[in-house]
Amino acid sequence: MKHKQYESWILDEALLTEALQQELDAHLEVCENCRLLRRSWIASKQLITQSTTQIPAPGFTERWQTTMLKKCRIEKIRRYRLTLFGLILLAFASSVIYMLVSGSFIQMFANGFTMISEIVMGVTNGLSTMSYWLSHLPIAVPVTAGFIFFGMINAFAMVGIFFLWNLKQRKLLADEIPME
Amino acid sequence: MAEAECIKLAREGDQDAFAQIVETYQNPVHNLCYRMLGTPQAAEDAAQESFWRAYKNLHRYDIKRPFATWLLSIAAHYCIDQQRRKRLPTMDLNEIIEFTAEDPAPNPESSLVNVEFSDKVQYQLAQLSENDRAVLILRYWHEYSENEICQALSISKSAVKSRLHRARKHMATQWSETQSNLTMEGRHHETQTI
Repeated sequence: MKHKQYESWILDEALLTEALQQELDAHLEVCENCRLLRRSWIASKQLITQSTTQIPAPGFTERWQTTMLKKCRIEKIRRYRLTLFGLILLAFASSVIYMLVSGSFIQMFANGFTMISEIVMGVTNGLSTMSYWLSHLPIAVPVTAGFIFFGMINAFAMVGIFFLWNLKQRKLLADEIPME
Repeated sequence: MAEAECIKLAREGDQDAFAQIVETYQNPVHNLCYRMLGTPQAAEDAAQESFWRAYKNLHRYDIKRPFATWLLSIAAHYCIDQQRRKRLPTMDLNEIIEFTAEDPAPNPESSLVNVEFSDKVQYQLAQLSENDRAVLILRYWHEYSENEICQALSISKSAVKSRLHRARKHMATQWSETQSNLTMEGRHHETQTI
């Protein structure tokens, strides 16, 4: 039997000629599967046509207007950020290209390196001068200076620890207070 | 204001004109989204997003085409995308009935009948693939011809035909399976009573 053909006639809502309709009817008389398919599809279609249109909750247009204003604002900010980012990227890219082309990039790198070396040399010189003076002073002076220096470091550390502890306590207190 | 006039003004940036378009088409767009996604909240969000996309791309709209088809095609594509990203969870029929029964209604008797029909349909629709569902919804809820569905979903006529055939067969099979389950439950209940 040409079940495929009959299935197509049943489901595809094709307009059949009288002869084809008779052929289908004759087939339905003998074929339980096709009969069930046709009955099920008719029932399903009835179910579809009887179901109502789902309308949105009242105030849909007002909600849309609010959403649109919000989205327009977001879109504007996004476009602004994108333009700003593009300009920064362009400025950075053009400056890099300029530096590479003009050779000033290597010059700048060398200058930076020289500056760092000078700072390191300055610190080393300072330390050696300090050690020279410390070795020529009475022992009480460097010891006193050391006490004052380490005492200050300890004091700062204790203040810092107390500040953090205080912050934590305040946070705990704030978490315990219920929101009105 | 006529539709063409509204579209023209909205294209020029008149937001009130587009709000009028939203007012006119909110029901078909929301209904399509609801049938595609299955819950009122998802439908609301999808409808809002569809209108936003339409507003943003209004300059691309070809005035030779019907506006409703263009708008519904945006909604349908958006819903199909949503479905692909997050597959529709298969809901139990009882869950759906409980969910929809909470909706306020002026006439309890008629609404109960509508809810019953709506839920059965929604349950059957949920079993379809998103592409087949979109075709079926446009065909039967929006009464689109095969050519209009082609335009709305940007697919060939043969694809529309085959999807419609598959969807109808699936709906029919689902219906007969539900009926046989109900019959079996009835028999089981009768045996227990005896």
